[in-house]
Amino acid sequence: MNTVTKILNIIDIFFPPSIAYAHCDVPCGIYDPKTAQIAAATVLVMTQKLVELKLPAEGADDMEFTKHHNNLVRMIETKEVHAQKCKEELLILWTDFFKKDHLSEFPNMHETFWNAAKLCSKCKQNVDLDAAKALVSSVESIASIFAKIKAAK
Amino acid sequence: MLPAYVPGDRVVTLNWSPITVGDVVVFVDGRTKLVKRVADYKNKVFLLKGDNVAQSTTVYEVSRASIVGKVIYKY
Repeated sequence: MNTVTKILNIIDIFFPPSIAYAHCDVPCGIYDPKTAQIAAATVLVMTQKLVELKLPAEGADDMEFTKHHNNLVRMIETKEVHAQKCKEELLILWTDFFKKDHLSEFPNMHETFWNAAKLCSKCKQNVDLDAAKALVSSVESIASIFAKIKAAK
Repeated sequence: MLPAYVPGDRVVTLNWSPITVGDVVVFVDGRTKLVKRVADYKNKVFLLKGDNVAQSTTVYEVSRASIVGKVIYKY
């Protein structure tokens, strides 16, 4: 062990390093539906904001319209990004965490994931409050299945 | 990141040095820090990949702001 490594090892005792992973979804075994839940909740909030967003009043100046467009684009962008993130997180859980054995206990698992992934797309394509609420509910169902499997381990 | 990095390795990162293709970096993905190698850099976006292609298939596109630092030492 060289001197630099010795010094770093001593520093680590007093200031433990944070953990960085080399894999996000492969053999590390770290799975959690929280990211999908947060993403789905974000989609719902952005959809609500879009529904409630008012056009500038008649006669408003250009800057008011610019601000409105800026808000509009940011909300749509955030909704788009989080719906996609939600879909990706769900697919990781579906394909990597859940195993064939779980189907006997949760026979509608495939349908639940399928519907949730479809809802992600629907939320991206539309400003649909019902779809966003259904997405949150669907992801909650998946999180519930996940929790039951984790608890049984 | 096998074979260059194995579980349990510790790394020192530097945040103010230039990052180029081939460098290994630590970056933030959501609430997780990940270690990947810079495969490409275009339009201010870094394309990051794992070394262990058999198991690490995700390609990350990240901005400089998401990168914690470049790995300069492993121990």
